Amino acid sequence: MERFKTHIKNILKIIGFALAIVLCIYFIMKILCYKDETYSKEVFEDFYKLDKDTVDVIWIGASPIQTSVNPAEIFHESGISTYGLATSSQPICLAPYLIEEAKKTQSPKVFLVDIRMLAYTSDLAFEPVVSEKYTRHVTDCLKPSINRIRAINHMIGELELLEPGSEINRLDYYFRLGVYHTRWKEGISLFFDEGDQNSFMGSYAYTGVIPIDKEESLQRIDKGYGELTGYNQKYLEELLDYCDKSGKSIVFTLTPCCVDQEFFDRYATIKKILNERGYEVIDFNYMVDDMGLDYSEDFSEFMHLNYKGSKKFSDYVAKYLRDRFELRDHRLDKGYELYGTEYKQYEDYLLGKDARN
Amino acid sequence: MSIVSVYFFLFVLGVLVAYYVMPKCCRWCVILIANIVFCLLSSIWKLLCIAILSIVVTYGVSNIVDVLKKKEKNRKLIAFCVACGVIINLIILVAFKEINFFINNTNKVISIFSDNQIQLVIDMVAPLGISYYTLTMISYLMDSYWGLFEVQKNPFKLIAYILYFPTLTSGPIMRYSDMKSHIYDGNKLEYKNICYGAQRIVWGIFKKLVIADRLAPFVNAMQSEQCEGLYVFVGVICYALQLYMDFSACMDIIIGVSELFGIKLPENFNTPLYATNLSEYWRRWHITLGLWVRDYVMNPVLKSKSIQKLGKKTKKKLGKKWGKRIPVWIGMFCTWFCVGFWHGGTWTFIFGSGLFFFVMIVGSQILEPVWKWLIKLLHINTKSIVWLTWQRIRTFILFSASISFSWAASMSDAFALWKRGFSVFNPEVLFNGDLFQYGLDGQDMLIVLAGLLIVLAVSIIQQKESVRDVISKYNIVVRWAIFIVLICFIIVFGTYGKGYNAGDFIYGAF
Repeated sequence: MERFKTHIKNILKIIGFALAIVLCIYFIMKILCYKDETYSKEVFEDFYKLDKDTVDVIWIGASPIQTSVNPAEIFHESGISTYGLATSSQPICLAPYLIEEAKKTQSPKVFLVDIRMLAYTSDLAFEPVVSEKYTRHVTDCLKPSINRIRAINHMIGELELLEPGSEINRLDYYFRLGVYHTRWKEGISLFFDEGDQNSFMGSYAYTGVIPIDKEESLQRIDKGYGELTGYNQKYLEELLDYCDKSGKSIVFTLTPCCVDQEFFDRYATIKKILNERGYEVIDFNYMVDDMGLDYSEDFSEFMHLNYKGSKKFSDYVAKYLRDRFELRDHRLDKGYELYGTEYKQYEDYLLGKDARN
Repeated sequence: MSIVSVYFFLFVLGVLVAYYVMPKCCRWCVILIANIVFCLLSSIWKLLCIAILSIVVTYGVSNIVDVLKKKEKNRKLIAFCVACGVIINLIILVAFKEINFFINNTNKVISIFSDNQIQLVIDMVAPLGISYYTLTMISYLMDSYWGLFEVQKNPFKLIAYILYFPTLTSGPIMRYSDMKSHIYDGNKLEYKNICYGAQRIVWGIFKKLVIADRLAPFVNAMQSEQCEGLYVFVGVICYALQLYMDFSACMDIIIGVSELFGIKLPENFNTPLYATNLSEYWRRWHITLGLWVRDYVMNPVLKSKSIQKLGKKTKKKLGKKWGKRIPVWIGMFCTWFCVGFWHGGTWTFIFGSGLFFFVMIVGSQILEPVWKWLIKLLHINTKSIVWLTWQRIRTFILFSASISFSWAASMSDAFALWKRGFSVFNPEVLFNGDLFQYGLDGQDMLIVLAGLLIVLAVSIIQQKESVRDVISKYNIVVRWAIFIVLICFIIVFGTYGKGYNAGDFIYGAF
C-alpha cells in the first residue's frame, strides 16, 4: 500500500512538473510571439475579436487589400461591415483556408478575392511569394485547428514542389518558438507591445507619394493577354475548383494599380479564365474616376495606394458594395463597436497626417 | 538521428516505456531492439551489417579463446587468437576511417624517390559509432583474455552491450565487467533515476544549445585569414571552450538518457578546468579514452619484454631516476600517438590531440628541477589559491594551444594560424567592440558569459558534492524553480530552430 502511495505521489509530481513547464512555455510563446512589420498579427487578432456573424464582406488578398481597404472607414461611410483577411504578398493558395477560417465565426454575404498576386511569382524585393516567410504571415497567426494544419500541409507541399529536395521542418510551423525565440534580443520592449498605432483592423497606411501618369497607366488595361508565370495557372485552377465546391458567393476583384503592361496582360488572362468559369470580376481600375483618385498624389508606388488613396477607395467601395450586394447599414446595431473604436484611432491618424502636411 | 533532436527524445520515451513494461528478465531484449532500430534510423543498413560483422568476429574469437583456455592449450596460440581478433577490428576501423592517411603519407614518401603515386582516394562513410564500439570490443577481447569475467555466450546479449545506443555517437567507452549487470539484469523503475536522468539531460542541452552552439559561428569566423593578432588567441580559447561545452554536454545527455534506464555509464569528464597540469587534465578529460589507452596500450607496452629489457639497460647507464623514465616515455609516446590517431587520421590530430601532450609532459618532467628551483627562489606558496589558479589558467591555455592544431585543416594551416596570431599586436580588439562583428553580438556574448558562470558555479559545487544531491535537499518548490528557470533559459536563449543545426556534436565526427 505504501509503495502504491509512493508511486502515485511520484506520478503526480511528474505530471505537476510537466504542467508547470507547459504553462511557462505558453507564457514565453505569448511574449515571444509572431511579429512582422506589415501587421499580419493585427489582421488576425482583430478578426478574432469580431462578434460572431457580424461581417458582411470578407476580402481576401495581399498588401494591396491591406493598404487600400480600411474596414473602419468603410463602416463609417456606409455602415457595412467588411474585413480584409490579407497579409503582405499573401500566396493565393491560402485563400481557400482563409475562407474556411472565416466561415467558422462569420457568415458574410460575399467573399471578395483579389487577384493581384496571381500575376507575381516574387515580391518587390524579388523574394518568392510562395515562401515560408509569406506562408507564416498567415499560418503563425491562425488559431490552432484542423484548418491550420491543412493550410500548413498544403503550403509545405507547394514549397517542396518549388524547391525539390529542400528540407522543410514541419515542426517549426507548430513549435513556433524555433523561429521567434530570438526575439528576446528586443529586450524589455517585448513586454510593452501595445500593437501599432498605424494599423486599423489589420489595414495599414502607406505614406509615400509617387506621381503617376494616369492616362498612360489606364491605357495598359485589357490591351492583350499574357501567360501566367510559375505555378500561378495551377494555383488559379485549384482555387476555382475550391470555389465551385464551396457553395459560397465568391467574387473576384482587381484593386487600382499602375503596373507594367506584362502584368496587366496577365490580369486580362486571369479575368478571361474567371469569366469562362462563370465568376464575376470587379476591376476597380475602371472606376478610378468615380472614386476621385488623383494619380499625382494618391499612390505610394505602382502597386499600392497611400493613405489618401486608401480613404478615397474605401469611401467609394463602401457605397459600391452596399448597393451592389444590398448590404444593411449596421451603424446603429449592437456588436459593431470595434469598428467605431478603430475609426476614432484612424481619424486621429488622419488628423495628425493632415496637420503635418 | 541527432541526440538533441525531438525525434531522439521521442525514441527514448518509447524505449523507456517498453523497457519498464517488459518483465525484468527480458528488458535487455528491449535494449537490443532499441540499438538496432537506432542504428537503422541513424545510418544505412549496410553499415549496421559491418558493425554486426565486427561483433561476430569478437564473439567468435572470445569464445574460441575461452574454449582453448578451458582445454589449457598453448598460451601462445591463445594470444595469437586474441591478437587476430584485435587486428581484424583495427583493420575494419582503419579501413573505414584512416585509410587515406596511409595512402597520403605513402605517396609523400614515394614522392621523395619517384614521381609515381598511389592514385586512390577512398571516400567511405564509416558505420555509426565505429571509433567507440571498436575500442569497446577490443577492451572486451583483452579483458576476457585476462580472465576478468566469464565470456558472454549469448551473441545477442553481446550486441546489446556493444551497440548500446546512447553510447554510439560519442561514447563513453564502456568496460564489460562494469556494464554487464546494468544491461542484462534489468533495472527497477526508480523515481530517482528518472529525475536525475532528466536533470542531467536538461543540463547537457543547456550547455550545448546556450553556450557551445552559440560560440560556433564566432569560432568559425576567427579561422578566417583576415583575423590576426589577438583575434587568433581569442578564437583558440573560444574553440577550447566550445569543444569542452559541446563534448561534456553530449556526455551529460548520453549519461542522463542511460540513467533513465537505471544503467550507470562511466563519467567522461571531471571538471577538467580544475586541472593544474596536462597529465591531470587528461585524467579529467575524456576519462574513458584515457583509461582505455592506459590499460590497453601503455601498460602492455611497459610490460613487454623488450621495454623491460630496455629499462634495465637505461637504469644501468643513466641511473635509477632517469633510467626509469625512458621506458615510460616510450610507452607515453605510443599512447599519445594512438590518442591522436584515434581522433583523426591526419597529422593535425596526431600532433594536436596526441603528441603535443607527450612533448609538454616530457618537457615538464625534464625541466622539473628548473621549476622547483624557480619556485624556491621566488618563495612561491604552491598551495595558495593564487598559484593554483595560475596553474589552472596555464593548463587551459596549453590545452587550447594543442587543440588549435586539430582546429586547422592541416599542419601548415595550423602554423599559419599561429603566425597570424603573432603578426600583429592589437589588444584594442578586446575593448572596441570589433569582436562583435563575427557572428556574436554583445547580447550573445553576455549570454555566453552568463552560461559559463553558471557552469563554473556548478563545477565549484561539484568539487565537494554532486549538484543534483545538493538540489535534492531543498523543498519541492525550490527544486522545481531551479529546473523550470533552467528550461526556460534554454527555450529563450538556446540556439535552435530555423537556420541552426544543433545536431552535430564535435566528438560525433570521431
